[in-house]
Amino acid sequence: MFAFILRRIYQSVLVLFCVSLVVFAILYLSGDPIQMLLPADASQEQIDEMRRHLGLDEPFWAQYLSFLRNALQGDMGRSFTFNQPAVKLILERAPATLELAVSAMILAILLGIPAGLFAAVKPKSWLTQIIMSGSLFGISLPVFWMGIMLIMVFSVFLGWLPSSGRGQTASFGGIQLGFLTWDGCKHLLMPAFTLAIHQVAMIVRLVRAGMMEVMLQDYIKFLRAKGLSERRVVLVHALKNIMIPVVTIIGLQTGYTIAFAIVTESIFAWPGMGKLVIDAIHSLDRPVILAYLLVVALMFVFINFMVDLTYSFLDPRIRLK
Amino acid sequence: MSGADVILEIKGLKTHFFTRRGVVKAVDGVDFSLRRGEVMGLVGESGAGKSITGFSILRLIDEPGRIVDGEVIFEGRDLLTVPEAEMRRLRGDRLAMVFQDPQTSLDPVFTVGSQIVESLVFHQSLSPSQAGSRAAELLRAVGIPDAEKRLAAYPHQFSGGMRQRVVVAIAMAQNPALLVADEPTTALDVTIQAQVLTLMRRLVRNHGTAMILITHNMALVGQFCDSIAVMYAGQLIEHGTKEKVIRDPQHPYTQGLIRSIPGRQERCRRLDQIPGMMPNLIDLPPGCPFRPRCPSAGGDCVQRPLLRPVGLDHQAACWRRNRP
Ligand SMILES: Nc1ncnc2c1ncn2[C@@H]1O[C@H](COP(=O)(O)OP(=O)(O)OP(=O)(O)O)[C@@H](O)[C@H]1O
Ligand SMILES: [Mg+2]
Repeated sequence: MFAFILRRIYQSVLVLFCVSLVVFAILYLSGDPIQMLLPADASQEQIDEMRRHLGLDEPFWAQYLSFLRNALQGDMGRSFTFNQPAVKLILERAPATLELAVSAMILAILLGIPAGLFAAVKPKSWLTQIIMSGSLFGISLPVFWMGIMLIMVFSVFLGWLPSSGRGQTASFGGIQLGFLTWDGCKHLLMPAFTLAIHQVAMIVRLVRAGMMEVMLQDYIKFLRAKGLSERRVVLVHALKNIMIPVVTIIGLQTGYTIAFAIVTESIFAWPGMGKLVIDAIHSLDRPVILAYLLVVALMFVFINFMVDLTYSFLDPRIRLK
Repeated sequence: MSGADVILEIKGLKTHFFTRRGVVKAVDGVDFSLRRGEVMGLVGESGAGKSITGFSILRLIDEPGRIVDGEVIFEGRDLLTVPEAEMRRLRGDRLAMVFQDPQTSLDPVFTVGSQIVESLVFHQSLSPSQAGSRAAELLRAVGIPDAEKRLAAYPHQFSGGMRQRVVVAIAMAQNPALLVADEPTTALDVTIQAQVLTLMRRLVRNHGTAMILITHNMALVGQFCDSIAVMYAGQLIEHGTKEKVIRDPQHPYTQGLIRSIPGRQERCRRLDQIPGMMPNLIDLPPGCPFRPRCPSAGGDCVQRPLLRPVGLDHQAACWRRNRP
């Protein structure tokens, strides 16, 4: 177990290093931020001065090494546009994005697993027809369209839910969280649901397919032959057997929802990392982009680590090495 | 074969599968009865309907299958009419089943102990600690060394033979009156086969449990059973005591089966095979299902022969062989 954790940390560092190198190289090749930062009529001296000031006059390797040296101390440089530490900018907005992504995944799990189970156990029910065609819609409809439709219905026509922003937040351990206040919950509901639709559809299909396969296994028949109730057979035995692929997908999708929250954040004007990064990309604000990508990569690594840990609880045949 | 100690009587059992391609008459009119403690071998080639007969007794038929007709009278009650909740109380208690493949009969993600305990808790309402010590006792009874420790192990940590012992322990946990063993040793190697079957016979004898031993293996039947039922295309075609059926088989199919046992009297003779294949069970033609392969088929075989007495404790379903 300890060896496993050590190895994962070592692997994670390697992954983060590679990500930083690749991203740094792409950004280096993708244009000169100076042109974005200074007015078009700036003199050559001003440009040279700015370049020196930002360290952009040095060769690629020198720039990368100095970035790396600072990054190891938690300093990813200052945003060119905001003139603030990039890490600080990202971390200020990370809770909003994480809250949105995690709420979306919880919603997806709470809706997706029961719906998938039902569809597998009662294949002929009319509700199953609805669940399955619903999940087909969920997979095929574009997220932004769903978001706009929700706003039309619930904000414009019915006026039940606010259409933008995070609303009131409350502080919990120094982090601002929206779901702690009623107003925050109301603001969170639509964006989280929009982000969850796709995931619900995926989970429903995965759970149903897995269940239908597991229910044909001999051990299910043997459990019934022992006299166990159908509820116990399905909810305890079959469910645990399909959890490995489900947890894998939940893990992967949590990563994606963090990364792709950008679209939802722009629809609902959600003050998360997404908006900041879009602006940073437009202005080639290198430190912010780098800090964002490294933070997201770190989250992916962490989620995968959690998924692997969960495996060993779910399936005794999997040993952590 | 009747009397007060009959515990299972099956009459006209029909289990059909309603598939897209047609109705598969997997079990199509099976009658037999079983006395307390009797071990009956149910033999027949693959697809004859042996497993479906066994599952029908426990009412464990999945879609698209359905028991369409018949009676399964067990300890005086027709199991086909009792409510599902009552049926669940009987399964794993008075009625038990063991499957062919020990690799797949146990849930891979729960410990062996918890899988024994859960049925003890359900059927006997034992407390978890009582159930734990009873579970260890059960494992010891099937010859698993170090039983207390093994309760915490997972199925994949057992060998095939040991796993089948666990399955047998679970099946026998409540001293059932009837055990349906569906090819319980086919997946094991030969020496282990004999060990597991010997164990099963001992447990069954000690508890007075009747057993239906489903198998392809005529030699096993001769060794372990009191009576033999031969199944063909969803019907019983011969049924009787072991001695009668093996020494004096009446149905041409049974005769073929007995001849194909390797290593009987005439050692050097080539193994006899029954020519042809069992017909497709979808839309079975009327008449004797064995007719196309039968060496002695005749005009009267276009009518379906029913199982009728051909001697004391011996019945066969064949127009040609029936002797009063
Ligand atoms: N789910 C199902 N759908 C359709 N047909 C089925 C289904 N299950 C079983 N059958 C049919 O029922 C018939 C009897 O099957 P059964 O499993 O009882 O055979 P068996 O005698 O046990 O054979 P084996 O020795 O191979 O186990 C087979 O011909 C099979 O095609
Ligand atoms: Mg079978």
